[in-house]
Amino acid sequence: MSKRDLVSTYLRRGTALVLAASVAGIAGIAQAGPTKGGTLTVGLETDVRGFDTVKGGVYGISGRTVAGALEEPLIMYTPDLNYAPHLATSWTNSSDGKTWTIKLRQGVKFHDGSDFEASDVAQHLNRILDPKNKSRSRGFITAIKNAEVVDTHTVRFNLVHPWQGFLPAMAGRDMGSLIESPEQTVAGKQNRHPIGTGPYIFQEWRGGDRVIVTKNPNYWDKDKIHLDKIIYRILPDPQTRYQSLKAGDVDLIWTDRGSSIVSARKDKSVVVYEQSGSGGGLFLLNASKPPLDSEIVRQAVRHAMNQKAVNAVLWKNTRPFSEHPMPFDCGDVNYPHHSIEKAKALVKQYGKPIKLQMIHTTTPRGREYGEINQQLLKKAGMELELLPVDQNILVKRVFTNNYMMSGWRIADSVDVGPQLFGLSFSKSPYNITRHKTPMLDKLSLGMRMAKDEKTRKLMQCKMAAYINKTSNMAFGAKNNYFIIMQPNVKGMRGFSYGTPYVWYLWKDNG
Amino acid sequence: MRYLTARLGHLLAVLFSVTLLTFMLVNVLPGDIAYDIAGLDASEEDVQAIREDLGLNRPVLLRYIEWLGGVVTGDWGHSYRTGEPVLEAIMSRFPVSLELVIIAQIIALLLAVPLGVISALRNNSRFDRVVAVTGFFCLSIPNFLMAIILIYVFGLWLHWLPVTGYEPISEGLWDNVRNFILPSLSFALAEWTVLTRVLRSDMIGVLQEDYISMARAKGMPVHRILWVHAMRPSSFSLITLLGLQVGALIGGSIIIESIFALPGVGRLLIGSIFARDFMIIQGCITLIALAYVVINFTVDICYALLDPRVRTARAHG
Repeated sequence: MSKRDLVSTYLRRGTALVLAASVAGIAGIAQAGPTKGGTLTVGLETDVRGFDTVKGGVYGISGRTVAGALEEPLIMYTPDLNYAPHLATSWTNSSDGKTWTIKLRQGVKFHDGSDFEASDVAQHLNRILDPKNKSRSRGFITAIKNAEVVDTHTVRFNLVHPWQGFLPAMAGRDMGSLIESPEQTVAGKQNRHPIGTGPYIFQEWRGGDRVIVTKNPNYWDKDKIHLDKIIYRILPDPQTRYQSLKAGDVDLIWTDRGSSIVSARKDKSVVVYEQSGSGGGLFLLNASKPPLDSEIVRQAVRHAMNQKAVNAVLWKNTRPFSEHPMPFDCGDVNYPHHSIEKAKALVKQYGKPIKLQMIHTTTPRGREYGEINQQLLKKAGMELELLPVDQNILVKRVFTNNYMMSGWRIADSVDVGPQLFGLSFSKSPYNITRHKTPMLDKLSLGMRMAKDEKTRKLMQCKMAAYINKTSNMAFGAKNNYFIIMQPNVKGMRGFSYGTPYVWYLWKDNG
Repeated sequence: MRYLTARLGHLLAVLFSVTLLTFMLVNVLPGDIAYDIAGLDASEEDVQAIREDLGLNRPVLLRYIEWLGGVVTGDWGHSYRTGEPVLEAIMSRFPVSLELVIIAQIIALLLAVPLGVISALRNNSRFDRVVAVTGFFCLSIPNFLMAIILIYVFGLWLHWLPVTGYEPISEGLWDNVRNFILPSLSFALAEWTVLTRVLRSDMIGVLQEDYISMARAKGMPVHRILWVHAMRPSSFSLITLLGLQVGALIGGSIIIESIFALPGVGRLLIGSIFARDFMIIQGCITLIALAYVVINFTVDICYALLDPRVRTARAHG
């Protein structure tokens, strides 16, 4: 072979090699994405009580985080406040607003192999709605009269009145929203051995220790699921939970401890994911207990209180200042900002000594909250007696009208309307501040019966403004969620109801 | 036989009094589990319905008698919160607490026995003083603080051992044991001191006995004198103390179980107390009372095995 031929040969071979390497590299990049396989260990604050809508009570964040891997809602709530199909593919509302027709996804199966059909949805909802079953979830959906089967994959919901809260209820993460296996429920086993249509299948539950779920090989949307197994470990103590993450015993935790969050933000060995929510802290002023029956006294208390100071001390500024509990903007809602001068003026206007009492939990946070308010009210010329009680007793005292002032909360929800209604409507069994305000009643009913979402939101804003003006409740810092993870945990995305969608995550090996 | 019958009667009397007293006291506590079950978003009607369902409006004595009847037939009731059978809830957690206690006591004994014996043999020596000072230093640190120090050193800094968790033996012996090392040390590093001091004191007394002097005079090796002739009579107080410690740990491991997230009886009990889950509280207290009595009985048997004079005295009534 001549020199020229040799060079030509090597040039051709070299070019071919470079081309082949480029193609392989591009193919590699194209294939890079979520890593398949592996086990994710999640640290939870509390154990689950049970998975049956009737027997299991209500879910907290821990329960929702586990249940979401096993059971699914009809509709998904997207982080940008829209609704996306999930077990339901489409939905329509009748012209009078009292009937919703939902088409279900076909080809979905429960973990026991049975088909997911309209009868399952109807049975699940009607079981909750039956007063004889005394389901704790019933109170959230009393606007639904019943659910009936139209055909194998179509369900019709008949409402008591037009209710814009229907879609949020179907997109929820609570027991009522997540569809259970009817066979397992009828057999009485759903509570401890749940079956759903979700991406993971229940494997084991060691009470007080962990719940283990494994990948559902027949999941209808399997491209979105990457892990082989999720282990949910019960780690009630927040310090223990955080240390477990730092030690590598768990991959992901949820926490609301300001000190842990601040420390994690500075720590390069972990990743902090922040998600804002709705709802938040609430402070109750019992309008049936003198002198809180006077709006002047209530306003004096509100002006003396200082949400910014509470956020700094209790939450280490990890929660945002908030004038109302809704997840959307309301503009000006008459929020009574902290002003000792205004509080003093109102105390003077009242003209009599003001002696108040506040119940609070015996936790460090509960005590700090009480002490902050005590000092602030003292500056304004009011006397506040603190009464520390167990959480259990606090709840009982509030429900039995045996309190003057107390901390409370509005749960994170796609739509806080039902809670606002319960707290505001004077005839509601949940009117725990015992007020009787005709204007607030009118606004509450207007919100509940609103024919479109825009009107419903507007009414919620008006309710918040009126509550701020009359001061029978004080809105506190809005819910804000912090997920702290190992750096190799990927795929965290926006979530709702304070429930991280851990079932969509994966773990990089690198 | 008479002895065994008497001990059984004693056991039943203790169990009856403890469970009756606990039942009454728990029901007198302020608070109501129905509110815990109902949640913050329920109404008063929901709460009352729960109370009705759980039978909480019935007289306390009637509920106790029903519970007692159930216990005799093996039905310890169901948790008000989770619906889980009480016996199942406790039995799934009892092995965790028991393993923690056993490993803690083994570590404590492994430290206490050799150190106690050597300290007794060389009492008032430098070694004796070093052991005493180290022991009092360990004893002065509360076990929860010891737990946190161990976590930081061995879990977070050196990454040698896990900070939290529990694996059953079926997952592998090392996976099981390694989760107990730090929690057990949290107990053992305080307990070995007490055991050492007690053993040391008793052994100093025994080593001054005539038969020990006789053994020395006959030229018996020191290790034989210590371990064969002196150890047995020196261990009565040690065994008594061990029995009391084991009993106390079974119910008293709440803090350590919480720090290390061990799913034991202690954690179950404290959660049930806060939630006023009466059935679980009753079950846990019954178990702990049973444990104390059984351990006490075992200690008595050990006395009889160690000291023939006890067996003879009992045989002669």
